[in-house]
Amino acid sequence: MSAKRLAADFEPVDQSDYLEFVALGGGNEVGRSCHIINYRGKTVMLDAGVHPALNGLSALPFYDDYDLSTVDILLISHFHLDHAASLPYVMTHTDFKGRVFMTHPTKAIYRWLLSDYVRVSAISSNDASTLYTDADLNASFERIEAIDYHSTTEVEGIKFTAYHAGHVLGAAMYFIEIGGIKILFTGDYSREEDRHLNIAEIPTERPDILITESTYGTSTHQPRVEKETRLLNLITKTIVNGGRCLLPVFSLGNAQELLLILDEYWQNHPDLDGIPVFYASSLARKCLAVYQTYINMMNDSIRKKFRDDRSNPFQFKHIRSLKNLERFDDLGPCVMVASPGMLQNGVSRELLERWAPEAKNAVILTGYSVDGTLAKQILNEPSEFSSIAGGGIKVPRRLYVEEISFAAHVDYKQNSEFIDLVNASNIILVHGEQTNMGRLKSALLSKYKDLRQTENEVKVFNPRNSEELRLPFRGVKVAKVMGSLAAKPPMDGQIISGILVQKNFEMSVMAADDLKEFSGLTTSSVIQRQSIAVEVSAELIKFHLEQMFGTLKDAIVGSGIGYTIMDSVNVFWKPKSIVIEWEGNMLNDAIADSVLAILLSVESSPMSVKISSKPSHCKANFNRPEKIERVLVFLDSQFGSAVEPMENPDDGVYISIDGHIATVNFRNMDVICSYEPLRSRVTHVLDHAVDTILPFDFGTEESDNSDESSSSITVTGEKNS
Amino acid sequence: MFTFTPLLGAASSMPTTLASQSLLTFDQNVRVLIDVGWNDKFDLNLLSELERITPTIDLILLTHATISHLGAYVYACKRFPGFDAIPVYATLPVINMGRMATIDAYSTAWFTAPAILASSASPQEEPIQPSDIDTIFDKIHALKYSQQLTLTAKLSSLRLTAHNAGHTLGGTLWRLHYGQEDIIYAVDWNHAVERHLNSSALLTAPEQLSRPTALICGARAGSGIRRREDLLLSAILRGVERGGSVFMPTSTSSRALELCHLLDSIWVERKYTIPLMFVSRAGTRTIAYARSMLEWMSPAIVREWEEKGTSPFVFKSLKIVTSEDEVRDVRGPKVVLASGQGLEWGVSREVFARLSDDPNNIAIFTQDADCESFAGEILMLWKAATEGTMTDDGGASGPKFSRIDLQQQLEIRKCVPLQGEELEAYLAEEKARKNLADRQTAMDLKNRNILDQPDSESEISESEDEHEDEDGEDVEADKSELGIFSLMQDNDVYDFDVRGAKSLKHKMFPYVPRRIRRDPYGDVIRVEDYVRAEERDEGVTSDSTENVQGANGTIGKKRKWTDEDEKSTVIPSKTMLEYVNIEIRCEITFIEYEGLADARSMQMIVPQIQARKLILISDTIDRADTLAELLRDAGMQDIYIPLSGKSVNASMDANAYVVTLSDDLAHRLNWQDTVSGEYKVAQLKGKLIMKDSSISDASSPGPQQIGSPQPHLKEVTLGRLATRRDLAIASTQTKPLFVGDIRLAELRRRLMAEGHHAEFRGEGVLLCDGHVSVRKLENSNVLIEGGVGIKFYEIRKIVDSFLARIV
Repeated sequence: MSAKRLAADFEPVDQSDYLEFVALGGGNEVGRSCHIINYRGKTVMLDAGVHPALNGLSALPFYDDYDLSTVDILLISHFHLDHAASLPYVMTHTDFKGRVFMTHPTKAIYRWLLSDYVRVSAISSNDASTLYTDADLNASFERIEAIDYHSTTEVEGIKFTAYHAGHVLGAAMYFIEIGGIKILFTGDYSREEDRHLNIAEIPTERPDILITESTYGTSTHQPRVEKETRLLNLITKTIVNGGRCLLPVFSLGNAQELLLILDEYWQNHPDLDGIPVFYASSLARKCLAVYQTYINMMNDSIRKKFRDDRSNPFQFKHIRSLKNLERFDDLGPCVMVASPGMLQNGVSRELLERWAPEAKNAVILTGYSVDGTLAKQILNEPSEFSSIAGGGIKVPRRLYVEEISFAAHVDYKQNSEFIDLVNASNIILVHGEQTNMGRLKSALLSKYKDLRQTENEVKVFNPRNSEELRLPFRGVKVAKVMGSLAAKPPMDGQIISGILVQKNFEMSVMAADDLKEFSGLTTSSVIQRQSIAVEVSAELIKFHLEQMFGTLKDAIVGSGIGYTIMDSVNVFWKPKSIVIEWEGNMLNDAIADSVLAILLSVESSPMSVKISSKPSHCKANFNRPEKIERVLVFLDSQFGSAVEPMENPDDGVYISIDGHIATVNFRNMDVICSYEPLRSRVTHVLDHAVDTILPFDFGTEESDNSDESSSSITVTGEKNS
Repeated sequence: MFTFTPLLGAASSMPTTLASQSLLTFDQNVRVLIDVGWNDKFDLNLLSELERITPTIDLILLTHATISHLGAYVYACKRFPGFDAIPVYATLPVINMGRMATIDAYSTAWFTAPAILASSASPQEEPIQPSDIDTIFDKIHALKYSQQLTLTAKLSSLRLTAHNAGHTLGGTLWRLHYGQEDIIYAVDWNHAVERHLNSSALLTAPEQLSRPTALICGARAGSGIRRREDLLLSAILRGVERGGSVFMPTSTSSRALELCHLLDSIWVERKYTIPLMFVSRAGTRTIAYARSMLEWMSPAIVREWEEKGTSPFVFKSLKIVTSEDEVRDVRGPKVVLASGQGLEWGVSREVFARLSDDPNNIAIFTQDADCESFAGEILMLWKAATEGTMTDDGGASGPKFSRIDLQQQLEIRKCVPLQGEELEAYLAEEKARKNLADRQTAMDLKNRNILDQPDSESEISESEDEHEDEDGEDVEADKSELGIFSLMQDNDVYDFDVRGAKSLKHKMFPYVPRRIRRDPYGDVIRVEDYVRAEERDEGVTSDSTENVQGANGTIGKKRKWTDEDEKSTVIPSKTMLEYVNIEIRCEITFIEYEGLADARSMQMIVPQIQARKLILISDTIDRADTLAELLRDAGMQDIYIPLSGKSVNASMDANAYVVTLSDDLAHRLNWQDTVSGEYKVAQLKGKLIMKDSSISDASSPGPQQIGSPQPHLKEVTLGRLATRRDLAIASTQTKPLFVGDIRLAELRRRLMAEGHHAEFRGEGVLLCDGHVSVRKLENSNVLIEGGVGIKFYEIRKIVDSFLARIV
């Protein structure tokens, strides 16, 4: 869903746009293939093999150099030991916790092959350090998931599809897509028509990165027919001379193709009927059953044969199976197809040592031999080699050695043709000896040198083991606008405002109301309600709030009183408390906070006091005559008989002392006297009296008369003046 | 625009049949036919509509390998012109098993009778041979599940994927994408894991199949009884224990596999010795196919195969036989599975005719049948007879047995091997035909060689017996015209009497010198002359291979590898009509073993798919109505039940288009995770910039059309908002909200982790620290209540963290 451009065109590419590739094995070598791809937080591991020439823990890929717990999925391309043999180790002895995938035939064969491997390596290794046991194998087997060719599986945002790769039954090339970047991993593949296998197919989409094998570097295979003829001629010659012919093979893979060839040849040459052909493998019967079952994964011609003849082409007519060497009577010339393929141990090694001294015999190597194995050594035609019994025993080598490789790998021509067709812009070479790989790299670079510095530049990499390769990719982000936002066709300059939803690297834009429908996400709001214990009147609240927020709307709430502030915050008044309610979001929270602040200060604000200037009445409910009486008591006690009431006793009194008269007005508590000392003295006494009897404000005359029954106490504060 | 028309398989005025054919039309332009089913009687009337619309069909998809789903495919290919040019897609097991089912069914159908017939009803056109069926099925493209498929030309905007449906091996439910339409077609599916089948992808991979715009669901539901295996076994034992035989008609290659596997494992487990057999004309081939398709089966089978290394379909007790005679040969009580669930085609009819008259025998029907078929009649009578005794537990208390009163004259078509005169006549004819064919090929070969010797023609053409042109047309190898040159024609002619020769030239053994052909570049050479020794060897061996292996691989009898016994090839045979009077005296019972999801499970599963529109199809309107009721109870709206031939418009009314986000906009996005972790959300405010794309071939710039099926990437970019005015407009368009769902249990956990005390009080109210309460309201809103204090704000912050805030 994206197009890529060179990173150089843009300014700082940020971290997430780098794809990291690490080869933990198989980088500049053949064997223990294991590659890690990391992009945008997703990690894929490809293959988990073992080095056939090394032993023990050193045969494993460099697992210690990487944190395996971050790996999301592990894809196994095919069952060969250098691609799958360390899978039980990874699953049981490391902290790997991802999912493992392989094709159905691979899974079926993998089981038998690995249990055989465990057995053989336990016997032959001198130090007891086997990597894993049969129990480990069984325990991890259940967790492996089998997938079918061409089915696209999606795991945690990583999409992958298996394509036919040729090479052996069940071998797959994986087309992986992470966040818009497409990667094709070929594993081992072959492009030559075979008797029973499909050739590697070209995926329909163009990948950005191609990870390909380079086993045969720049060399070219002989054409197939020639190879077959050569093989058969050599075998015939050896047999006619009375010699024995040994063909060491992997139990599964090459062997079946060879057996098909031999069977056909024996069929067409009835004169060879007397010469037996043996297939020595303990897995023979099981392997055959697998081949018969997965006939639908093979190429069309063999399927047609199966369909038409109704007989299984893998039921060989001229080849006999041998479980082990005890049953073998070494009587005369014969052809023996035996495992393992690199003569490390087992039946083929034993037979080689038996037959090597005789010059009439021949050994034909039909597979790829890894450096360090006896098969590779013997190709140099040494005069002797060390026996497997060890102890310095040497076996003379006089038999004829020939290499006719049916290894079902691609040669330079097929590989470069495949690379052309796939048309990726980045190529990573793995699974090749250093020299071969280097040659292939230079050949490819010179092939594409015209495209350098252009948009179609092809980059070729051949990283070593544990060497990190970082490739920058600029993903162009694409999103799909749907729902009500897309109701009208797009117009230039139109403003789009909505929510961008991303799932597994796919983005869509929609309006908030469409969220539930298109993505299943629910929107929720957090409604908050705070209550404050405050006893003020509703009008006071309203006043303050109006001061701050302007006009309020009334919110109808049952029997209570409520206001809505700025259409977002609701305030409900209850006699002893006030409840603020609002739907939480930034703006509303701010409003609510300010409302809260206002309410908290309502009681003490000066404005409140001013507004709520009601007459204060103490709890003691005095009426006026009583008050006057009490004041008179004071005045009497001070001035005694000098106090004389006015005409209206409620109005006031006269106090006359030494000829000076002070008029005390009860209405406004005034003292009028011409003689200052008397005036001040009377005032002083009057104040005391008032303070003692009625420590709170008197209030004015009007309010005095009006609320006889009011018992409210106004808020303390300054005196009313 | 999407319309759905069931051609067959929905209720109609015709008698109900299980056959299924549906037409999906997109934008009135692309027409996809799903399933080409037929009824057991092969009634041509059912195909009239199909014949009429054949020229308009663009694509055919097949779902299950039964006659009711693909029975008419081969017939249509042979008889309806243009039908075989339509591309067809199906999964591999459907192709192979469908092939077998068709071969079995057609072998006794009225239209495939080979030339020799005992009755007078012979078809006018050429008969349909099994080899024809093979070729036709070979042309179907095989798909895997979840395989991405790209189509070409007219169909390039259609994307389809196959998913597992259960019910049969390779059973498919199709997902089709066309523009905005997203359709799932799921007819006959099973949610349960069976012995050899996985459960449907509707259950195992729901995220791939969620939220289609329309879901077409078959309303034929299973009965949902449990312990079916036990019921079946007890029914079988009932018959066997009293010395009778058990007869079970089943399909050829779909449900038969399940029953065969089931019975074989029971037999082996309990070490029964009663003969158990599966009789079908295509039996061995079917099982051979099944053995090669293990990867399509249930995990149990795959595990059995991987761990034990024994193929599960190599039967130890079950015998596979191919004709009724072999059934008859086995004396005594036996259990017979016969192919042909409707008792119309296949061997089941003959076997039933023979087994039905013994009152000790039991016939167990496990599958529905067309109501017009013989089995359908029997089942209706059975249902009527057991009506009174029907209990409400759906048969859990045991299958109902009853005897029905039925006497009928059955017409049985038997495939009888040719014998005696007829056989000889046939063989002679075959030989003559083969001779002619061989001659023709030899002639062609020679003519090709003659082409290289152009001047032999010029030599001969001089003579009066001119018979060839310069360009070497096909020649009637008539000896008299060729004269002596016939000796060179390589057609069994070795003698020529020169006494009657016409010219001197004809009295000598002919020699035609090979004139070298020249072209402007020199001599033209024959490549075959220059083949190297190595390469030529190969050619020789392959020729001799063919000759040697001609007689079907009888060489090399050494069976070193497996003990498998191979049945032989096609035996020349003819169809004979036989009329048999039968009286059904055996007991009849019905134990449903179709492997279909039952109504209750459908009620649970279908709403979860969250389709916008639901279309139910079923052979009877009752079934569809009942299911619709159940689904409405579960909250689904928008349910349609079309009748056969009537269209339903189930379009999606929305549009969509694709925008590219500009880099500066993309960088400023503030992504937030949602609780579920799958989704990330961010607020988006941008301004559309439309540019002509350099690669698109649309010449007119400007907005796209509404409803165009393919939103081209017309370079619609979303850029940042630059001006204040834009920002103002944008801000009026959004309101702040939270995305996500809060679950109180998780909230509680988080609060406890942060040191607050939280406990549940009352119904769904979480009380935190004694002061603040959190509860959920009906519309997934959350209410936090409390007083003024720090706790309130702390708790509010924690609650907020659960949601993605879009401001």
